[in-house]
Amino acid sequence: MDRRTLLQGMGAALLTGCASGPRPAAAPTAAPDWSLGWRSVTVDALAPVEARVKGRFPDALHGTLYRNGPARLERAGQRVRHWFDGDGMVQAFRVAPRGVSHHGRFVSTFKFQNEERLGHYALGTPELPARGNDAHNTSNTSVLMVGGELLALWEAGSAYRLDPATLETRGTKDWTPELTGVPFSAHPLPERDGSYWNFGLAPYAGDQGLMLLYHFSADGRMLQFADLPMPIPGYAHAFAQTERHLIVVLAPLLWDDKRDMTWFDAKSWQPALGTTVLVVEKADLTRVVRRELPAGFVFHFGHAWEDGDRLRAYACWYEDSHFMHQTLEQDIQGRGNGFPPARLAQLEIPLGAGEGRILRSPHHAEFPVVDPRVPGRRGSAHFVTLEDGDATLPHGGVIARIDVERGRVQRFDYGPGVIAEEHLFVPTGSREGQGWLLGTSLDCTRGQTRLAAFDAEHLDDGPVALATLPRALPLGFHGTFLKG
Amino acid sequence: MKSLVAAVLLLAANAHAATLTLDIQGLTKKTGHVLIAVHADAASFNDKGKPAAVRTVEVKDSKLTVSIPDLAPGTYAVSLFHDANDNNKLDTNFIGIPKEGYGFSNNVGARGKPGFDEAKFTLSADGTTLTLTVF
Repeated sequence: MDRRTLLQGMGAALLTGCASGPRPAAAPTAAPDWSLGWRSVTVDALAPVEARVKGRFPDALHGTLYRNGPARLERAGQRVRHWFDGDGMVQAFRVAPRGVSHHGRFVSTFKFQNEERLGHYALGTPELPARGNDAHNTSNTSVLMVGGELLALWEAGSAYRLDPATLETRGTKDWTPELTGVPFSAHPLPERDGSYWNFGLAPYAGDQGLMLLYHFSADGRMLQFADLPMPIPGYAHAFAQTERHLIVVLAPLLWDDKRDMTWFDAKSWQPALGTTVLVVEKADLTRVVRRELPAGFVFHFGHAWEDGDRLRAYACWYEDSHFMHQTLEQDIQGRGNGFPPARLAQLEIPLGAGEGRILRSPHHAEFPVVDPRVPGRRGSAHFVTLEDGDATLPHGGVIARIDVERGRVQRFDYGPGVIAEEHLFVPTGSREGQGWLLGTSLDCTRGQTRLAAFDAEHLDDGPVALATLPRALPLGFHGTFLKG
Repeated sequence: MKSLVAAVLLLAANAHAATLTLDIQGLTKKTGHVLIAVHADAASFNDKGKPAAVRTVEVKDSKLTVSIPDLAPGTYAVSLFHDANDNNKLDTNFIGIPKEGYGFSNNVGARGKPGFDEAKFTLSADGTTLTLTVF
């Protein structure tokens, strides 16, 4: 099958950015059901099913794509307050020479187990008292293979350990007795030697709040652990690294126990304080400098590097913290909710005196993924979901490769009615950004989740392979690819 | 003389005696002991004074009932923790969050230690029963 046939098979209309794509068959007449992206899965596991595959997944992608995301968002007629509060379900897409299959399973957290048993939300009531962070742990944000186990990651408590084959939950990842239930972000960063850095924020701990820093090995041992006082009880979801530094960007979204305000309260947004950047030396985690940036909000980072007397980091930059305060209904409304999307921007952070700057690109982007072969060094390619489609539609299905050094953008549009999710980069060859892109999308018209593979250097040629599941999965956040 | 003093003290105690009954539920492990302190003032509640009463009760089930007699009627607050591994302390993680069960009167304290005023209750002359859920 050639790519032309494949694209026709997608029915993905429109492919406006796809020079080689044919004009598709007529778009389906039914209106997209955008709420599919936030619909609850009501069984604890999704049994394996085979996907319908068009094209051929390259050998380098034979393996498993694991993805995590909130998949239980209501019980007994009550909806969660925020998308991030949904119970995490891990999806496994197995790509093999003979075909593509999918299965999924909820992470069996304390919260999920007990609320399944009770049939309604009860956490924090006398019916289900909650002690410590892990009582609230939804384990819903990302996944990472560590020490032969699949870790389901959250950010305000422990990672959960899963069996990579069955996705059954084995328990929490207790690095040491004292680190049980301590915040551990969903975005560990790989060091060149194969180890990982991570951080966690506990603004309610101690007198001033604590930022926790971790350095752990790929086989699951804690190599180094440090804690630093937080200068402000601000929020960060992920962080960035250069060769010598870790960069934590604290948005002026302030946790305040005394006023009973968490980062999800809109009143916690205090832009007058500006954004606080903590720059930590990898060689000595007690050495920290604090820098300032204009007020803004970041979930995710791209490439970051040392540039003489300053650091530069790409990030998907929001002008405010609105995403933390949106209801599920506003999530479903998408662009219709009136909030501007994030913009790919370069954060310029002086190591010495002086103010930092935000250099905004014109690209509205999220879920940035970069080539892992250049950690902490200057890189160009950012693989993102792009918000540049038909603005009259609530959601878009565009992914893009943005080469920031050359100012070049390649894009692919899955077409109307489709929401594109994070696409992961799987390297081959030797050039930065040479390899394959593997990612999922939700066709809200047909009610199908799909898995597609692209040549990462030729996104605008469209996918080389596409697997369509006979089921629609609620939208997830982040994933990891395991070869083999 | 000694017996007279003892008799007077006993009489005095009886004159003011009220019994506090605690129905404690939500114990997640059937090991160790529950350590209970009854505080008559904020100083004691904040570990800066002597509690009016303390009890150590073995845990064999997910709930237990403790009667603490001979307390003067008045205002108190109860704090307790489940020392499941019998090391005589409330184990906490690095950021100070308990790894073992704990609880307070009025069932406050879900997000950290409450103040005496939040946990206080009145022990009446004819006794009071509280239901405490362990976090």
